[in-house]
Order: sequence, then structure tokens, then C-alpha cells
Amino acid sequence: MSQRTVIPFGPQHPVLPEPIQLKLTLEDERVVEAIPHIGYVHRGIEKAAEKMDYTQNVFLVERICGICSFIHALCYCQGIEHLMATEVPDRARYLRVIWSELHRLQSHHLWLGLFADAFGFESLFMEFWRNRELLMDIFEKTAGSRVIISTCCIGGVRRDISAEHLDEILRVLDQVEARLNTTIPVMLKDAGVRARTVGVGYLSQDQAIKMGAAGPVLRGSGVAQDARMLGFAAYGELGIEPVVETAGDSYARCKVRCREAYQSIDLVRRAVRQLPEGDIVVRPKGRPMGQVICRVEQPRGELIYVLAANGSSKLERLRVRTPTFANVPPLVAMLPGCELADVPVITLSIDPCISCTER
Amino acid sequence: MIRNVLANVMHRPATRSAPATAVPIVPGYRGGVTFDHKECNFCGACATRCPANAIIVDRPGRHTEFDLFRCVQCGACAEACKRGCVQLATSYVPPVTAKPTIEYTERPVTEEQSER
Amino acid sequence: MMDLGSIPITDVVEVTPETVVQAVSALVNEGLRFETITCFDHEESYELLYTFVSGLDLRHLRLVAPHATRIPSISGVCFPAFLVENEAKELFGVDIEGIVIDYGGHLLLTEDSGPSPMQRYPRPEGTARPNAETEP
Repeated sequence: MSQRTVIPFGPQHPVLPEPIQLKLTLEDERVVEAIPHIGYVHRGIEKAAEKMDYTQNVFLVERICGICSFIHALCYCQGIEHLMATEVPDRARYLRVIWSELHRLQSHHLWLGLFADAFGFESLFMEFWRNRELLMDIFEKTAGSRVIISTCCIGGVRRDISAEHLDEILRVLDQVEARLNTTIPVMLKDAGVRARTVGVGYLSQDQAIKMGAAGPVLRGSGVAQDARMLGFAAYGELGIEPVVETAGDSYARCKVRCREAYQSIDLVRRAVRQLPEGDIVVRPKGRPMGQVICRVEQPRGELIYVLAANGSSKLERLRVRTPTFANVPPLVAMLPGCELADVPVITLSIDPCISCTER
Repeated sequence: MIRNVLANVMHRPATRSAPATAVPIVPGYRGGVTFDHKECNFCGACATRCPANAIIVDRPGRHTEFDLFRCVQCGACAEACKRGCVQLATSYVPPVTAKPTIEYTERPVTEEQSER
Repeated sequence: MMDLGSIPITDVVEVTPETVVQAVSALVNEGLRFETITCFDHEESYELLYTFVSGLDLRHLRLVAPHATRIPSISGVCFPAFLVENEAKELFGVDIEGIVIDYGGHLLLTEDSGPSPMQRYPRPEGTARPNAETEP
């Protein structure tokens, strides 16, 4: 007769980048049920946003997550600009795309490293993180800081990128692309990696929609939806094709992110070439009024902000729905049936950013 | 991977050997906040804009307080100050042994000083 | 191409606590993907905005009910809603019953957090707040 054990996976676990607890009910080595427990890094951001001025909130929301911080600020600023009927100058829109895509590239490098670490491939993990340093240096030179780059503001961007920095970005992207060309084939073709990821954590297309998945989890199961297709910032002019894989397993999600890394390099190159001249910021007048729902695409998926303002200097309500919050139910659906050793791989394949989840 | 491994073994170290070599200063780096109170008129714009409530300005008392470790180095105060009193340093805040609050009170100008 | 990243909240269908599960079930059967539930706290009532996405278009259901109303959970027909409903129950004190996995007020908050931190308006006397922790 098989025995049932309950194992707490997390919140402290070498493989998890951030604390989440999965209470796994196991029958011998197979997972039968998984219940997620979160709340270890809850900071009350939504409550804090109601107490602070709407201009100070930009700095608050970009600190929800360190890996996708610019894109949080971008979503918030876009919402406030909509409420104040402000049109952002063209140059600022393209600069926002450049920084967003560099963020996405940096995030996918981080994830690729962590994913390799999840099945013990530590040297590949070090390779990806060493290559990520090239991008962090770019952030330091163009934005003044490596992680929380704080360049998005209401009405545009706070800093311009000079012509020599733009040249440097292009040169560094050539280096990044060359290094991706040597490391990504290792990730995708290595027999050991394939044995650990192909067929592991299967999520069908139907289930992906029913479970409310977002981002590469959704696109890895064959659903062609990417919030950048909405045409915010300069994505409308640059054009975007969602990167889709149909296999629905961890390998497919990994492949989506690898292809998106190349897509980001291409987008930054095109944005730098098409960067128009002009102002980088307009000062909006008045106070925000009304309700708006704004969506952007983070590296992990679709981010939604619901803003409600009543004309005062403080917002009435800021609701943040992050993609990992949407990807936890698909994780709960993917885990039953897998073996205990596959749990870290599947958990990392949804790209968990628990700071985003709990705000 | 073997080619990568051999290339890495032959390559110079990827990291800087700090503190033997100094960390290069990147222009435009958002480091710690510094105040130069010569031109300060205690308008309080920096305190209003600070998202971390790290600055307290007491206008009647001609007194400012700055909590160095509440600061998140966002630069909102530097943008708000119309007299250029607030600047961002080019390196990050160094570690200290006790949490510092930098206080400043404007000394009243005496009659002899103003005559001179 | 038009910028559809930020849009006002349109395409809203009003629902009541009695009709919400059926309305959600219809949207799920149509193939819409659940996005989120946004909770607004008003003086006499609260408002729950259920957001679904179809392709790139958003559709909303709005439920406005007095503070002490008991609301059925939609997690039976729409599983991903269980996390958000737990959060709404915990942070706003919305009385949602029948959530598939109920954390009993301990999803995000700890014992010493105080009850329903995101409530903006006081509740009428005598209304039992679910998961109310003892006042410090």
C-alpha cells in the first residue's frame, strides 16, 4: 500500500529565488496535491500607494520587483498619463521600449541561469549570469543604477541616452548575441537538460486558458497572446509577433524565453535605429481623474494595473495584478502527477517572482 | 561546452580585484544624496517630493534632517531643488556602524558678521 | 496602430450575488481567460470588478453590494480566482463563502497584522467580519 506524506517545499529552498511554500502531498515519489502558501514578503504596496502622492507612487511601484522594476513604473505612468490626458513625446516612447526590452533580456538571462541551476547545471548558470553583467553595466551607464533604474516618470523619461551610449548599447548587444549563440544551444540541445524538461509539467492549451496563465506559460502552450500587441509605448510602430510553442511542457516554456531573448535584441536594435529626436518629457497639468485599466507585458507575463483617481493628489485605489499571481494556479494544476525531483524544475519553469505576487 | 571551458580558463579574471583596484566611477551614477546648505532657503520641496520620507525640513527653525538610510537614491529631491543644494554622489552609500541622521541648523548671522 | 495599453473600464455587465456564478460560468465556457478581481471599498458598499480577457479585449462584471452581504465564490467554476478571493476576503473583509482552497485569513496577513487593513470605511455595528483578528 502506498504511503502519503506531506512535504513542505519552501519557503527556504536552495532552488527557489524567493519564498513560496508548496505543501506537497506525496504518494511514494509522486505528487498528488500541491497547495501554495504565500505571504512571506507581503509589504502592503497597494495600501501604501493610497497614502502617498501619485507622483511618489512611481518610486513605490518600481520597487515591487527588482527584476522587472522599469516595467511596473511604465505601466503606472501610462495609466496616470491616460487619466491626465497627456501624450508622451515620441523619443520618450522609444526610450521606454529600449529600457523595457533590455530589462526583459536581463530577466530572461537571470531565469535561464536559475533554470539551469534547478537541475544542477551550475556552470551554465554562471555563464548566463556572467553574460547578464554586460546588461547591468549598460543600465549603470545609461540610467545610473543597475537594478532599480528609476528612469520612467509621469510624462516621459527622466534621462536621455546619448549618441555614444546608443552606440555602446549596439556593441554590447552584439556581444550578448554572440554569447547567447554559444549558451542557448547548450540549454536546448543538451541531453541531460532535455531529459529533465521534455514532457515535464505539461499544461494543455485548454487548461492554460482555464487556469488563467500569463506570459511564456500561456505562449508555451500554444496561445498566441502577448500584451505588447496592444501597441503601448512604441510597440505599435515597431510591431510584435508573439513567440509561441505548442508542446506545453517545461522545455517549451524554456524555448519561448530563449526565442524572446533574441526578439528583445532585435527590438532594441530597431528602436535605437528608429529613435526620433525631440523632448524626453512633458509636464502634465492638473490631477488624475477617473478610472483606467492598463496592461503591459513583463518578462513573466501580462501585468495589469487598475487605477482609480478622484482628482486629489492621492489615488483612491491602485490594484496590481502581476503575472506570477496568475501563474500560481497553473502551477497547482501542473504539479499533480509529477515526481518529487521534478517539482523544482516545474516551479522554476513558470518564472516565479514572488515579490511581485505578494506586493 | 569544452570550448567554453578552455576559453574561460585562458581568459583573464572576469571580476575586478577590489579593493586592490578601485571601482570605476560611472558618470551619472545615482549614489548617495549630499546636501550643500549654502543656498538653502528651507522651502521644503525636497521633503515634499521624497517618497521615502527621508528628509525633514523645519522652515521656521531653519533646520533640516536627513536620514541617510531611509533614502532610496531616487533623485527626486535633486530634481525638486531649484537652487542646486541637493546632489547625488557618484558612489553608493558606504557602510557605517550606526544609523546616521544628518542634521543641519542655519546659524543666525550676528550683527558684527553682517556689518563685515 | 492605436495604443490599447491603457483603456477606460468599459464593457461592464452588472451582476448580483445571485447571478455572479452563472455569469462567470458563461464567460468561462465562451473561452475567456480570468484576469483578476479588483475590490473597491465605498462608504456604504463595496464593489467587485471581475475582469476577463478574450484575445486582447477585456470584459468586466461589476458586483456592488452592501458591506455585510455574503457573496458566493466563483472558484468552483473558475479555479484561478481562489487566490484573489482569499486576498479580497483578508484585506477588505468581503464575506466570500465557498472558496475552493480557503486560507482562513492567513494568505498574506499574519496574526499581528490587524483585521482588514485595506478597508477605508467603518463597517456598521454588529456586522460580523469574517477572519476578524482580535483588536490589539
